[in-house]
Amino acid sequence: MNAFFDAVLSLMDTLIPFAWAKPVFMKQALIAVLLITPMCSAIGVLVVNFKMSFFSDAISHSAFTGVALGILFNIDPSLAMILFGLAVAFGIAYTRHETTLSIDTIIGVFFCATVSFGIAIISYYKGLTRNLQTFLYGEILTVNRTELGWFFLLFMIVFVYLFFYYNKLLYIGLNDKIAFTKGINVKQCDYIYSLVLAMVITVSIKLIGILLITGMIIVPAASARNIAKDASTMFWSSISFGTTAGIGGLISSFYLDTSTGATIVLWATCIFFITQVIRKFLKTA
Amino acid sequence: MTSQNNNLCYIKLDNVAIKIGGIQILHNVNASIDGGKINALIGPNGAGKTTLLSAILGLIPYTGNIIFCDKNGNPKPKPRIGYVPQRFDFDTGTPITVLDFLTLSDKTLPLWFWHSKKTKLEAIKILREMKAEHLLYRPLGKLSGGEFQRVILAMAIKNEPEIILLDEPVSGIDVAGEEMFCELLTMLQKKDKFTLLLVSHDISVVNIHADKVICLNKTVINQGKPADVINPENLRTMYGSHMGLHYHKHNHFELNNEVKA
Repeated sequence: MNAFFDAVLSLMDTLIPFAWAKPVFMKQALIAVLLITPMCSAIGVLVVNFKMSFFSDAISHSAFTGVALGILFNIDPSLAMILFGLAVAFGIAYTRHETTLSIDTIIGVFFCATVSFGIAIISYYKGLTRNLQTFLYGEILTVNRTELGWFFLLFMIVFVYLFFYYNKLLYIGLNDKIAFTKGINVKQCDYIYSLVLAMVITVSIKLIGILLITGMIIVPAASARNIAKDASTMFWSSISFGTTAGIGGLISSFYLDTSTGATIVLWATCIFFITQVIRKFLKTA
Repeated sequence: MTSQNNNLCYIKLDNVAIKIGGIQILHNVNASIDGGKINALIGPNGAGKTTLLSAILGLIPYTGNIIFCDKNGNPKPKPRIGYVPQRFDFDTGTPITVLDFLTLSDKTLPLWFWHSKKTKLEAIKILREMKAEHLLYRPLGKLSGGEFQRVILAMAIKNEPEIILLDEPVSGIDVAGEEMFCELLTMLQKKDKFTLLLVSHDISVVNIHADKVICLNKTVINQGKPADVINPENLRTMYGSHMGLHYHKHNHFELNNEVKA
């Protein structure tokens, strides 16, 4: 595995002969960006079409509590964060199917419950705050090879998932009754989607941070929606915008010495405003 | 397109009852939805028409039996059902074309791949039948009410359904659009002989196009041929004592607030 990584890094030395790409940590960060940003942008298309950005917020903020619980019970905080995020996602999906409450109300309840639980733990164990900083803003530059391996695995899972479920989810998003008549198991699709989305969010927190991960999920997709006329264009535009923001943000943060996660999201928002102008131009043309 | 010999599947409703949230929506529903015919379900608001369709679709639980039968009267597995809902609320800003929409259910590749020539030709063929070929690349959210209904109908009759359920398909469309939709529907049904169950408030549409009418108000009030069923007495039972019929000379009925002899 190490030999493979060494070969990749050496290839990157040849292909990217720039000063910013010389340090190993930057090369590893670039690989992380190339795995995480397309994944977030692709799944973000469904989040935007389903109007589920609030869900994304709830999961990312539940990470607070997950990390705190991990530290308290001596479990790897990253693992605890992912497991807790999955539990919250399952809870939201389950409540959605078992009650008549609207989805934003359900998410709001879970959001408040998890955040208040997290704050209660943090305020009780004062020493925990220091450990949470990493997760708040993300630390892409400290990503290691093992984490890259996990990112790659998740990348594969997400794109295989989207290959088989994208059309079904789009159908459900348009009309779940018609989707049902076409033989789509709406409930099953909803559960799996919630869990995959929660996995993407919690894993990506390492890169972007709790505060801004929702931005990385929805902003590229929102930009794509500004200019796309069909489903295919929206999907590929979202990935292109997300990846461009990721690479641009990483390089900028190297030279400007700013937080990488925040710089990436800033790039994504700039792209969004550019697409807004293009949209206006296309409308009047 | 729908199959020519779809086994004339008919549906037998045997003592169907539905309770939602403790409220009895339907009780003792006994009816037969005739195979290869246009069946109309009429009744006032809150009569349970949409709920009954949901039960037939398998979306909600019920007691009693909903039996799908073949032409010999033997029970058969749940058939392919096409469905046109009463309301199709969706985000009209979603970037999805009519072509995307029509290929959603049978495209093996995800929509973010290209459309194969085969799926595109199939979509064109079905749209041509709907007199809507020109809508192929139009965004779904930019269609007019009438255009949208034709696209939804195209989606419903794809994959050769044996039964098509339409829940007030012409509500929200202008008179010209309504007539065009009904004529199109009748023409398709006569050609392909699928079983059609249509929920409608428009008595004149039902009178002209339906082969059988089922009057519903929590339970079946009456069922049979339009000429036998659509009469002031049944309408009063369904809609209340103040309702009646006004008959126009051009073979056209209208619901009226007062009973006219």
